[in-house]
Amino acid sequence: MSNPFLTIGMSVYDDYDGFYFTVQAIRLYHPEIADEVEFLAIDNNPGGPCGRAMKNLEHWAPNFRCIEYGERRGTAVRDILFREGSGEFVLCVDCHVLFPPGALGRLIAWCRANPQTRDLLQGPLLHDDLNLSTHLEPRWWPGHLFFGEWATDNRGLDLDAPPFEVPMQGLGAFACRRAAWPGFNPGFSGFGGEEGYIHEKIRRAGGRVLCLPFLRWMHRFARPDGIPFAPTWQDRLRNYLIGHHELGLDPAPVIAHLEECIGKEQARILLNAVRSGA
Amino acid sequence: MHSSDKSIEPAWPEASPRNAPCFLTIGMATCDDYDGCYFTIQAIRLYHPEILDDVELLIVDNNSSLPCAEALKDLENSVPNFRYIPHRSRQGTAVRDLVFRHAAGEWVLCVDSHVYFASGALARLVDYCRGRPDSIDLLQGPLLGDDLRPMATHFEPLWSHAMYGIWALDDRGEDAASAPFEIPMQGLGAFACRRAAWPGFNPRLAGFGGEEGYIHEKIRRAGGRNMCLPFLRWMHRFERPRGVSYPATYDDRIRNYLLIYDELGLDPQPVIDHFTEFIGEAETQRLVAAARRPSVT
Repeated sequence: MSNPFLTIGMSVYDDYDGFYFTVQAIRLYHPEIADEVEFLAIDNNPGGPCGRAMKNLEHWAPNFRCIEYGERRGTAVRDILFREGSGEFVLCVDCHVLFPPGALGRLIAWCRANPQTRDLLQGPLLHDDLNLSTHLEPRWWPGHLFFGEWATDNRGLDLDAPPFEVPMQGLGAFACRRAAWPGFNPGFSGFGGEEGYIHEKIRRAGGRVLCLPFLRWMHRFARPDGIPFAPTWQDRLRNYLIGHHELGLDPAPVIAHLEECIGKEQARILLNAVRSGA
Repeated sequence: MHSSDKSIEPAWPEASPRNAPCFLTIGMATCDDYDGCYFTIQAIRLYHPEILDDVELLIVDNNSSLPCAEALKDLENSVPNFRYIPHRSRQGTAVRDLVFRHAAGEWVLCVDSHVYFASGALARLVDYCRGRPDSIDLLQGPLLGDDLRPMATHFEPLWSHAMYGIWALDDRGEDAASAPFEIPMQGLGAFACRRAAWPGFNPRLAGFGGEEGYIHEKIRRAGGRNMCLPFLRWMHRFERPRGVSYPATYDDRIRNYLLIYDELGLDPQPVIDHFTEFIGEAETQRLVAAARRPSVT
C-alpha cells in the first residue's frame, strides 16, 4: 500500500492472541477505514514463539507489515512505530484493544479536518463493565509505582461531545500526526513510565492532549497465564528518573512516592541499583 | 465433617446460578483460553449490541483449576447475563454438550472460545430462529479466512489427516444475502440449534475431536437438516503459537470415532482404513485394540 493516511501500529511481546483479535477486529468491524490504513506490528521478542504466526498474517492482510525488533525491549519501542509507519498519522495501540464501531472512522475524519495538528489524540477507556475513564489524574497511584490515577470527566460520557483537553491518559491507544510526534527518550527500557512524560512533551511542543469522546477503547487487562516479560520496579523507576531528567523536573516526588510504597531503606537500595546501572 | 471445613471446599470458582429464560444462549467450552474467551465475548458485546437483550453468555470451563478460571469467573462482575460453569470430570470438545444442558436460552449458539462474527450476523440469526420456532435443524455458516473472505461453507464428508471432513466452499455461500442451503456437515466452531431439538453428544466421548459428521448425521436422523446460513459468517483463531494445555491424541480420536460409529450403527472399517493409511497399520491396530478394551471406569 502506498501512502496510507493512518498507520495503526502496535508493539507485541509474545501476545499472539491479543494481536490477532485486535487486528482482526479492526479489519472485520471497521471496514470503512480499510483503504486508508496500514497495520504495523513490532515483534519485540524475535525468536519467541509468536513471531512466525504474526508474520504469517502478511499473507492474508494486504496492508499489514510485521517487523522484528529485539535490540531493546519495553513499551518505549512504540517509538519505532512512528519511525517506520508510513501514515500521515499514527494510531498506536496496545496489542489487546478493541474499538467500538465507527470510532476509527471518526478518528480519521477528525485528523483529516485538522491536518496540521500537534495534539496527542486519545479517548475514553471503556472498562469491561462499560464504565469509562476519560483520563489519568496526574498524581501517584498509592501503593503502585505508577504516575496517574484513572478518572472520569463527564464531558467524555457523550460520544458526540466535542473533544476536550485532559492532563494525561493511559497509553493503550493514542494517535499523533507522525511529523509532530515528540518521541520517547531512547534511554527508556523495560515496561512503563511513559504516561505523563509524553503528555508533557506534547504540551511543551505547543500541542494539547485531547480526549476525543468517540475514540473509546476497551483493553484486556487480565493476564491469568502471566506475562512473558518481567515488568520491574527498577525499570520503571529508571524510566521515571530519565523522563524527569529530560524534562528538567525535580525527581524528588518520584523518590518520595517510591519511599511511601516500599519504605526508605528498600527505596534507597533500588535507587542505588538504578543509579549504578545494575 | 462440617460444611465450614475449608479443606473440603473446591479450589475452583463456583458455578453461576441459572439465568432467567432468554431467547438465545451463546455458549462456549473453554480450556485454558482466557484471551480467546475475552475477545469473543467482548466482541459480541461491542459489535452486536442489538442482540444483547435477547441473550445470555455462558462459559463451560473445562480446566477450572488453572489460573484462567478466576479471571473467567470474574467476568460475571462486569458482563451482564454472563454465567460461568466449571466442569472438571471430563475433558474434551464433547463437553460442549453441557452448554446445551446448562443453557437458559430457547436456542443455543455454541461457539469456539476464539471466534468473531461478522457485523449483523447474530441479529440475523436471532431473526431466523424467531421465524422457525419449531426448527429441528442445525444452523451453521461460512467460515471466513483470515483474509475476511468466505473460506468454507461446509465440510465434504471425506477423511483427511485423521479427521473426518475436508473444508469446502459452495458458491451459494459467498454472498451473505443468499438463501440458506443444506450442507452435509461443517466445522463445529459455530453451530446453533433449538435447545429442545439438540440430539446430544455421546457422553462417553472424551478428548478432542470426532464430533463433526457425527452430530450432523444425528440431526438428519432426527428429521432435521444441516443448514448453511450464508449470513452467519464466523472467523476463527486457528494459530496457537504458545501451544495448548490439553492433549489432542490419536488415541482419543480413534476411540471417539469408534464410539460414534457404534452409536450410529455404522461399519467402522473406514475409520480403521483411514488411520491405517495415516499413521500405519501397527499403530492403528494398537489404538483400536486399546479403544475396544473394556474400561473399568
